[in-house]
This record gives sequence, structure tokens and C-alpha cells, in this order.
Amino acid sequence: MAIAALYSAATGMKVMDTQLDVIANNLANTHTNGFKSSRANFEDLFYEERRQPGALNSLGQVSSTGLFVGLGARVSNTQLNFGIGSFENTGRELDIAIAGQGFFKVTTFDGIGGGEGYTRAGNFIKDQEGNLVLGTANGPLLEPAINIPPEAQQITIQGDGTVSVMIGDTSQEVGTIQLFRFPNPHGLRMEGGNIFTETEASGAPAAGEPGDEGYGTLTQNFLESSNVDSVKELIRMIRTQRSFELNSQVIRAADESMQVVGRLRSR
Amino acid sequence: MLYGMYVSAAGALANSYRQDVIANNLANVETVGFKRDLALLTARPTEAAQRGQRRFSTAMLEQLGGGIFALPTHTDFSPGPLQQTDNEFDLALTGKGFFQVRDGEETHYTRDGRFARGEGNLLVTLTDRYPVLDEAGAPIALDPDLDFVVDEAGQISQNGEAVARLGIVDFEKTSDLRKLGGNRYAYEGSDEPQVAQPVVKQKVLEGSGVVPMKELVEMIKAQRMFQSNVSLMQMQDEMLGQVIRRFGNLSG
Repeated sequence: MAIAALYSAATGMKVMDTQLDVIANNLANTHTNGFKSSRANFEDLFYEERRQPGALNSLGQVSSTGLFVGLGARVSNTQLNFGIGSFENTGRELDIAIAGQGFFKVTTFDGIGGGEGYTRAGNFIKDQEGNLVLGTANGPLLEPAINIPPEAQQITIQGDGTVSVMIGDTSQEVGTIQLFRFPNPHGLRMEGGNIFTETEASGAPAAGEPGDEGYGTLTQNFLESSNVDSVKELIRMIRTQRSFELNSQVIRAADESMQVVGRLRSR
Repeated sequence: MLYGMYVSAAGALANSYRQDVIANNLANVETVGFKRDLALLTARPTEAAQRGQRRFSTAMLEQLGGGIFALPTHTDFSPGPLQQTDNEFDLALTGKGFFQVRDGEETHYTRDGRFARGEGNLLVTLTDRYPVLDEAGAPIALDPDLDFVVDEAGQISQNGEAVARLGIVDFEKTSDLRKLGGNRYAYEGSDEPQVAQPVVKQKVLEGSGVVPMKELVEMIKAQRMFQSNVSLMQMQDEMLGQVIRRFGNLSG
């Protein structure tokens, strides 16, 4: 008696709950450099067959379709939005934004993605040996490594990835920043700390030079802001909350129906 | 026993079924490409009338009707609201028609246009990773290094060159489509699917066809009708009890 309704509504509340978690994370990262927003994708669950199609009805006629009752919804996956965030001029010479779809490669702990991580956050700093590291809590090393000599005065990063420094009056090339692309970036795993790692779904990364078709060029002195659209997220949050409420109403209705049945024999 | 008890019970059961269907609709209020189900009910003639027996046992009772029946589930295929997204692999059909996807040997149909580049660089559905089919019913292979553009006629092009055209079909009898879950449908009719020409929109998704207000009103209605049917059962039970107390007392 309305038991299916109870559980269907519960699945509805659960997916809205997950969506709310995803939105909360997006909104928490509205100021995280290189952050990519996620969305939760839903699909309907399977259908309970209460009467087969083709069964005879009471009039002896063949019913062309059956009687199916759906059992709710579920979260099928979360999907990253790789839209490029707006570029912010920071004036810092080690801030690099990628105008295109490529990723920087950094080394991570061995346990995470086999030691290889990918990021779009371009806020690099120098470590004690002069190597470029990502300016996050863990400070992973940029791959392939770029070493800035201590006596270097001015660092110039060109659109094609060439890094050169001024030592005294002479310009000296110290390396080239490489970019990487994935066949299916939506399949990347988020590791936190602005790092993505390769999965079977993402496919193997393909290396390229900045400026190659599809990789994008580098822009020095700029950082890519988070691509979270806070207005859209807020609207989605309102919708999610209301949908959550709607499903709770269904639970109440189903519960009340069961209560009515429970009191059927009142004496 | 009172005949009406069973009619009321049938009414209560039918409204409980309606609640189940509405609950599923509301659970899918945010599911892309979802179409709402309708719980349709029909009056049931009495057993004797159904069998064509003209000689009724009690003419008065037999003409009352035999309760209520649930009809096959009907899906309302009216279009859902369109939502703008930033993802180039999000497609929406504005108008009738379905995308075709391949699950093993079978072809399934969907209105959910959330696609991705999957294994072997094929265009696949995001939720279950089934290949999306072109006009000829073949999977669509994409070049991973190039952009992905779909025009309004469903023509996919990369780097300005035509790659494939999405195979979009429609059915004369959409009532022969059966929901499989996962936003997919199987076609169980005999007619061949027809090629449809809806406008395809890129970076747009079709939202759920469920209108929360409508469903809530329906739910309140179903709940109240359920309650009235149960109340009627109680009333008839009380009547029966009174009859037994008044006339069934042998010691009297």
C-alpha cells in the first residue's frame, strides 16, 4: 500500500541530497583557481512490471502495453564542466593561464594517479632549488621540470611554452612547459588540491606543445579563475531544495495513506 | 458480505497505484529527458456484464458497476523545458523524436542528450556509455583532437568537416515505447521507426517533463480519494456490525 511511493520518494530525496552536496562544493570553490564545476546527472531507476504487455484484460482483449510503475531516480554520475574560467590579471610572472583545453602535468604522491597529476591552476612558485612547483598546499613539482637559476632576474613565459630568464644582460632559455590533453576529460578523477588524475575512462594523456591544435597557448601574468557560475548554482540550489521538499511531501502522503489503512479496523 | 466493500477496496488500491506513479514522477523532477507517466483508470463493469450474461442475478446490484481498473501506463511525451549548459556534448531535441543508442544487439531510444566521447573515441551516452547511432544505425567515431559541433539538423562536424548525422527517429505509436530506466526506452511495436527532423540544440539539455505543481495536485487528489474509499469501507463495516448486533442476537 503505497510502499513503492515511499521508496520512490526516498530515492528522489537522496538524489536531491547528492545534488545539494555537489552544488555546495561548487559554491565553496567559486574563488579556487583553475577549479572546474561539477554537476550531478540523474536517471530514472528501473520499472516494476505490474502487468505484462500482451496480457489479456478482463474483456478478453490483448492489451498492447503493460502496466509499469517506476521506482524512482538515482545519481548516475557527476560530470565536470571544462568550460574555461575567466582570466584574472595578477601581474605575477609565475602565474600562467592556459587559453585552451590543455593541462599542466605535475608529480604527485605515488599512490595518487601513479605519481602523475594534471591541473589547470597555473599559480606556480619556486621551491628551494629553483624548480617550478604548483602553489598549492602540497606543492607538486611541474613536469617536465623547469629550473630557474637563482641569479635570474626576469622570467618570461611565451605563448608557446618557452621559459626564458634574464641573467645579467643576456636572455637564457631554461625550458619549455608542456601541455597534456585527454580524449575524454570528463572521465578524469578529482583528487583535490586542484589536481586531476588519469582514469580508464579519461584515456591516456597526449603531450603537446602550447600552441598546438587544441592544446591552447600560455598567458603569463594571468590566472584562470574558477568556472563556477554562482548565479546558476544558486538557482540550481533553490530548485534542488524545492524538489527535495516535494519528495518529502510524497513521503507524507504515502505515510498518511498507510495510516488510514492501519486504522481501517478501528474498533 | 456487502458487495460495496470490494468496490471500495478496488478504489483504494487504484489510488494507491496512482500515488506510486506520482511518487516516481516527482522523484524524477530533475532527471534530464524524463517524461511523466500517467496513471489512467477506467470503470470496470460487473463480472456478469463483462461475460455478456444478460440474466443478472440481482438486476439492481449488477447495474452498479464492478469498481475500477488501472489501464496500461501511459507516458506523456510533451517536451520538457530547455536548459542552457556550457558543455558542447549536451544536446537537446526541440520537437518530436528520439536519439538512438546501441545496447549490445538492441537499439534503444532516449531523449537524454548528455553525451561524451567514450571508448574508441565513439560518441556515447554519459550515463551508461552506450554508443549513439547515426542515420545508418552505426556508431559515431570522433577525432579526439578536434572540436565537436552539431548543427540544428543534427549534422556533426569537426574542424568544419562533416563527420556523421545523428540518427533521430520517431514513432507513430509512442504508446508502444516501454521505459527501461536509465532514461532509455525500448520499442515494442511492429511499425518501423520513422526518421524525424527535430531541431537539435547544442549546449542545451531538455529538463524533466514533470511539472511539480500538477503532480502535487494529483497526489493530493489520489490521497483524498484513497481516504474516502477507506472511509467507505469502514462505514460499510460498521453497518454490517450493526446488522449483526441487532438481528443476529439469538438469545434475544
